[in-house]
Amino acid sequence: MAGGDQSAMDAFYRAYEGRVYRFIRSKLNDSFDAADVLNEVMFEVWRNAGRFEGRSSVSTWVLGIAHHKTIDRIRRRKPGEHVELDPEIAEDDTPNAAATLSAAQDAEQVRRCVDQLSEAHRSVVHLAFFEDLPYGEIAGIVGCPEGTVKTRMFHAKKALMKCLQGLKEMGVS
Amino acid sequence: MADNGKKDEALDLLLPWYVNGTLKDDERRDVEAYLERSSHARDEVELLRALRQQVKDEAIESSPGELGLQRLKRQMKAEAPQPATSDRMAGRTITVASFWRPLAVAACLVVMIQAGVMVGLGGFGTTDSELDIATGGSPAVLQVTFAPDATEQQIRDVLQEAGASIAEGPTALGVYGLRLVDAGASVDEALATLRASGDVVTFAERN
Repeated sequence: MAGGDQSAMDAFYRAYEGRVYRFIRSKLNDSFDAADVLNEVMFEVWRNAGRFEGRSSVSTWVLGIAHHKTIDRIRRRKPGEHVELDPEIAEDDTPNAAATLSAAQDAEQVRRCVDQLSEAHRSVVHLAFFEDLPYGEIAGIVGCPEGTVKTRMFHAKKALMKCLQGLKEMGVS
Repeated sequence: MADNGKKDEALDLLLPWYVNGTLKDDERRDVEAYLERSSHARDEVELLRALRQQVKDEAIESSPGELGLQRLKRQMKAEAPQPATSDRMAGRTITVASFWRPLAVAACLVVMIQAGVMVGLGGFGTTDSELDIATGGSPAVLQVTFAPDATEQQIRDVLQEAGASIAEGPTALGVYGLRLVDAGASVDEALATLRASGDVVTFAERN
């Protein structure tokens, strides 16, 4: 691919497109925007394949590109388009795990709460729970220390618990 | 006690990765010991497992797939560097280009004369639509796909709202080329309208 082999790019696209799109989509609520960003990611892969040094896995490399492209897209959006849970507020009076377990088994409620997480928290949740990646690899993708990945996940979980508990108390199903 | 509390806090941070099965062996052993002694940790793991399952099961629309690959290929082709030529070859290219240029100009003139004849015929009773077909119409400036369950009425409404009409297609992938009814209208505005059409248009981009 680094030598300009288009058939290799085709194979790469078909192998990674679904995963990359899903990762982008987990951070963007717009399927058209997500398709645009996917195209930008794949084009960057095509142009910079020669720079891939093999220090990380290919999936870490391409998901890292996707992460940064998505952040760029979010920054270009109009402010206020997406309301995010404030993790500090969300952490106050967090319910215990057993109390929110039933709500966590409701797909719609979990989706609503995940959608309200900040982009940084959603990224970590997706990479840990959809991609099943170790925290070290997630740190490589989102470009932060391993400790930050762990605390982001911790805060994301607290925010989700608080949100799920809120929906449960409101009787939302 | 304080040390234990601090250690437990550190272990709490590892629970999501215990659930996804990616901890190193020593970390996994520490977490398992923590789970043995802490009901709080066991509840957390059960909650995290439920959350992980929901994240995995969440249904989203299909990815762009082959349509996205075609779009990427067009971009790759558009930005492909021109093939390098040696000085000798470059000189030959100029010669060939010089040879073809007068022919290309002549061919364009023929096409223009033909088009002029057709437009002239149009003035003697040809309808607008016949003239449109005779001259080939405006080129497609947008590409779209429609939802498989979209009705003709829904498609018509969306096209009218966007000020667009079908210029070509569908291709084997179900892609339609659209032209703007008002050639001077904004392609970006039409694109935004198509993309905001709810579930009717599943893919829209510039051609």
